[in-house]
Amino acid sequence: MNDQPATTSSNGDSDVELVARAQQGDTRAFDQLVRKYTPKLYGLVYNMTSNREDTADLLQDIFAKAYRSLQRFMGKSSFYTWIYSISVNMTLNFLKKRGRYTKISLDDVDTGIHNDPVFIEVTTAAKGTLREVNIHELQKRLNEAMMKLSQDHRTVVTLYDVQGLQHAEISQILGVSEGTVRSRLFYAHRQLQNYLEDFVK
Amino acid sequence: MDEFEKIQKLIRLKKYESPGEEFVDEFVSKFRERQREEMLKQPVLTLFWEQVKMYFSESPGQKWALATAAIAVLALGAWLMVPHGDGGAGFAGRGAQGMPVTVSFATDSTGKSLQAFSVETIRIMGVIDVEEDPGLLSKHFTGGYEQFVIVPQEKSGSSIAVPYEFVDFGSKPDIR
Repeated sequence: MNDQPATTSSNGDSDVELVARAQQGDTRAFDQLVRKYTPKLYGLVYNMTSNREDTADLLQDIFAKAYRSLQRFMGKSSFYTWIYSISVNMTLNFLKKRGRYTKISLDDVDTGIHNDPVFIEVTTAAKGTLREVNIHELQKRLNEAMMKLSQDHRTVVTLYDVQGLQHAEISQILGVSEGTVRSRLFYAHRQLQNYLEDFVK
Repeated sequence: MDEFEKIQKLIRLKKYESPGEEFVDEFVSKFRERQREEMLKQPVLTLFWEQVKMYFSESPGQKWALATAAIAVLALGAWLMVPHGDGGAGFAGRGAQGMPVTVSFATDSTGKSLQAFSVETIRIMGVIDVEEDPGLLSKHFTGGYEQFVIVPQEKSGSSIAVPYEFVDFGSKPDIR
């Protein structure tokens, strides 16, 4: 599964064209990049912070930094990889400053979840038990489990499981080897399995 | 089956979390507003330099030629405005030369006040400690010099030029 965004925007301009125009000072081109990458980057940052307000603020800072740094973007990697790297680094720095304080604020959940087979399986399996699973409880448990992971492990789980990136892409974004990515994922999955065992039995 | 496949499927449900449909539009608007505010906070010189860079990024050859010509004209103008030479005022002084100064003049013994010299024609040849050696101010008149002694007034902070002597053109006054 690869959920990398298409390299063209809604009006047909490729990332390469938009970046080139933005580097020449075309702010509308940069706006198009912002519009295109906001949903993905929101998901990335939110899954690492579990807080809507922090996510929105941080995302503003991320795009502002990307805009300021755009002249130094040489195109050695894709814009997608470049802005993901900025996002991950800034979010990790934010989390280090925030420390252990975590206030989870839940996002809305798309109604499409009701048709997801996994969701149906989880909620169906829970019927007849003392506790029924609803969306918000599931969401809360998933967020709490993610927040129990270390920042590095949470990052790889977000990028791989939630965002659907490949090991090679994650390794490029984080600046670590693919082996390190696989190792962190293994450990994180094992931890999550312990935290959420009542949902996976 | 991968031992972690179930947990991975569960975690993937998080992709349904979404900030809402209006979020992206509002976010882009807020971002634009923030960029405008940051731009306005930048120093004027920084903004000017960015505009210059953008200007030269398009058709650089022709624009560089125009810019070079503009700089040359400005430099010539600046050079023409700077006073050159000492106008024959003649003698070297101590301290800074060419310092503009506004000087008021003492009155002579009949009470007649002396005409103030314009800044362009006066140059302080040297400001020296008043106790030891008063500063010397000279103005070159056709046919002769007029020398004045600059006496700094401590209380007012200004200086008073007191006529020292009238010297014929060409003769070198004794300068201390």
